[in-house]
Amino acid sequence: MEGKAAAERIFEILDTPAPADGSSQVSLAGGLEISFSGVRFTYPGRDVPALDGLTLTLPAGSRTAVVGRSGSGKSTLVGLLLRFMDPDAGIISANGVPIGDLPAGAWRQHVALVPQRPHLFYGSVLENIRLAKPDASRPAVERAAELAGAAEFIRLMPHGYDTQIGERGQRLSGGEAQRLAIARAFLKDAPLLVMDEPTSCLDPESERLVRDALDRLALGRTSLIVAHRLNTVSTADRIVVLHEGRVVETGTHAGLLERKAHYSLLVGAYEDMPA
Amino acid sequence: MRVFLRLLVFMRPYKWRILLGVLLGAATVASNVGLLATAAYVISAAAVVPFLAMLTIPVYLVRLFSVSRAASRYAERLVSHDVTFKLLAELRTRFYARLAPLTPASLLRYRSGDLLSRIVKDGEELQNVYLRSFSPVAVALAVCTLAALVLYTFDPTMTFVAIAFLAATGVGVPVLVRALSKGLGQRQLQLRAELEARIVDDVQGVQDVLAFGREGGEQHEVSILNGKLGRVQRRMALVTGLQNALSDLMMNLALVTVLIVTIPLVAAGKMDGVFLAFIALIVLGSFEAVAPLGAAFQVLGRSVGAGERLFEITDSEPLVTDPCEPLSLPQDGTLALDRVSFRYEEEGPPAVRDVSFVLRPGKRVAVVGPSGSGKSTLVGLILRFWDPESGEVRLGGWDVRRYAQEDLRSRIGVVSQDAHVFNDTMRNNLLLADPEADDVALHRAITEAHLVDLVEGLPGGLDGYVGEQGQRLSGGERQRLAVARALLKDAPLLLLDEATADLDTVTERELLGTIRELMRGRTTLRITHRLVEMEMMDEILMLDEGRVVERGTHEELVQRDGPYRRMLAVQDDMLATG
Repeated sequence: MEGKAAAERIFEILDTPAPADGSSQVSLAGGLEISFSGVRFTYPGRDVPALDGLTLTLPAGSRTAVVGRSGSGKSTLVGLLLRFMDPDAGIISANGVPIGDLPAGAWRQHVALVPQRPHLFYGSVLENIRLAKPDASRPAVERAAELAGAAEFIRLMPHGYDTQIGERGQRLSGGEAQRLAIARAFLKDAPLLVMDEPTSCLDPESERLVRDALDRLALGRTSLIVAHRLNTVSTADRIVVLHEGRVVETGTHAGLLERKAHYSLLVGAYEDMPA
Repeated sequence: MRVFLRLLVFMRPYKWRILLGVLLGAATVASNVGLLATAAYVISAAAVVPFLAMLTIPVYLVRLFSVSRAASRYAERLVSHDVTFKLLAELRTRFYARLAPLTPASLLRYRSGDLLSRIVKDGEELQNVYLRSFSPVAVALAVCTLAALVLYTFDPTMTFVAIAFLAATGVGVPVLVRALSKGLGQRQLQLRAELEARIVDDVQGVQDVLAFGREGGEQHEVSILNGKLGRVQRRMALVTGLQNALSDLMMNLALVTVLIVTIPLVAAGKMDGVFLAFIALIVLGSFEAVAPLGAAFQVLGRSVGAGERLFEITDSEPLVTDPCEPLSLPQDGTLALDRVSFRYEEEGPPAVRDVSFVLRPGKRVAVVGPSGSGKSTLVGLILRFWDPESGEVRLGGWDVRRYAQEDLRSRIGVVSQDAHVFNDTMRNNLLLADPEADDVALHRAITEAHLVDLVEGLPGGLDGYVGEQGQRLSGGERQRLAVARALLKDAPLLLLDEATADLDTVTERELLGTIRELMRGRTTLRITHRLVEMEMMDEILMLDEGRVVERGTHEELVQRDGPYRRMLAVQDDMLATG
């Protein structure tokens, strides 16, 4: 009987349909433009959709910041863009080709993700950065770390790039883990950058280092930054405000402040405090 | 050996039960041997005796043995499992009781996963000391002695033959198997741990694995590990098979040899042939007692290992101890740090150096600085998780080492970065702070911490489950729970350790409002790396690399061109307007 119950639980996972793979290709000449049109997504077991008819275009080479209260659908956007799940309705396309028609693995090669909480695998710093490109040479890894502003703290570690980190290794601070993730993204050198900012705040100095590294990384790429704490929004070409799974405002920092609507309320919350 | 003796000490309170369990265990096997042997005797004798009535007593014995076998088996299981679970409970309680005073200073060296596996797995392993190791050995000794005594009444030679084969099976075969599988068990454990760690790592990091297209590579790594594990397991299975085959071979050889020795005795008329089958079955039956010995020795090895790991923890001295005659808490609630220095490891860099400040009742002091500057260490020192290397932490003018830890902590309410939500009802999560609180007090704390909406939304209200198996709380709700606990505890001194660090801006602002209410009328020490609401503080200490580099009020520090103003500038710059 126990065996039967165990088998049922295993089959429940094996039977979960994986997102279907397509076989189309996308041309990257002239950069990568991403567009969401009428995208709707509801998490299994929930009633309220996380994204409800979202329409949004990220022009090639532009830098877009997405802001909104927690639960407004910001992180869902990231999951859909990386095809960790597929939308219930609507289309996400890259240079006009629906990403659902591309093989998931091939599509993800075009995307560099800097997640909210980068996972550090048990292994050396070198191996952790190399995750992005297993055949990268050591100098290439070191250059990526340099660009990510991570080289300094790595050099201070007991065995430099060969220091073991992750669950059974040395602990890194939140800011250090972020910069390691940015180093991975530099090494990957993909045309689309997706950054999901951490919700918890780093101390101001680490936050500045992360932001500087990010500025360098975003150069010449299409980038989407999910800003939970509004730290990086000011350098974005465009700010998109999400509310209950929909875009409610779009514009520049100054323009949105003038409208005195959703965005200025969010900023107000942030600015009031250090007053 | 010392570890084994210490484990035996744990069994001492249960010695009578253990004796009873062993006796019952021996009775079970002996009944079986008796059943086989007397049955054989009855069958043989029935062929030769003139009157079946002469067999009345042996026939009754057969019935008796078959009933006593079942009964003693049942009773033995009852007694031995009772002992096992009592032992396990005792071990866990003792272990936890030793653990609590060690927290967290000495335990910092162990990773949480390691600690958990020590308590759970090693504890579980130890329950086998009695059930699968001590008891089988004692039973085997008892049964073999009994069998030897019975055989000896017939002939010494066959007794020695039987003993020799029993010893070879019980001790010789396990020793041989151990030599063959040397290192295999260790290797298997190691590979399995590595495989598990790899899979957990890949599951937790699945986003990054997928995002970087490494799923194929990781699958390959896992299958390589799996293959290695498979090869080791195959060799283990071969060794186990060999063990079983050898045991059977020994048993049958013993039978053959005993017959070779005994048949000439019958032929020479020195022994009645009726007893031949009786003797053969006594020998065969006795092997039931020695069969589990191989496993018993293995278990013993593992248990001693587990015991060693547990004792390693319980033997470490608590770094913080209560004084023999603790002072009662003073009226005066002034908290003072006087040139306090502390380092986590003897050779390591100091975490705080020469920190001094005075926090008078009703006042507010903030300690600010970048992460790793030693802010949280101060909290640990004030709560006496650690004692300073030099300098003193004083409450009401006396060194905190003069008070009992429990008394000291009863004066301090803490709201830290991530409050732990126990997998329990909302009520019990709150009662942690004050087990005596009545519903009125609970509702007041819930209202003041702005948790009303959450509690009303819980199925079952206050008695609704939260945490892992109940409703998950968001970061903001967790911190509100911590505030509610602090309100219930109603301690005069409040420690806010990065209480809002893990929250998004909007939630942070809402929580700060609640915390302002909590601070009203309480002496407050606020630890933060975010310079928010600093103008409310009576003194601000700027910490860098464990040292106070700047101090003063917000107004004073803003005037000065120092680290505080720079930190403020970097922070404001984050929101570069325009």
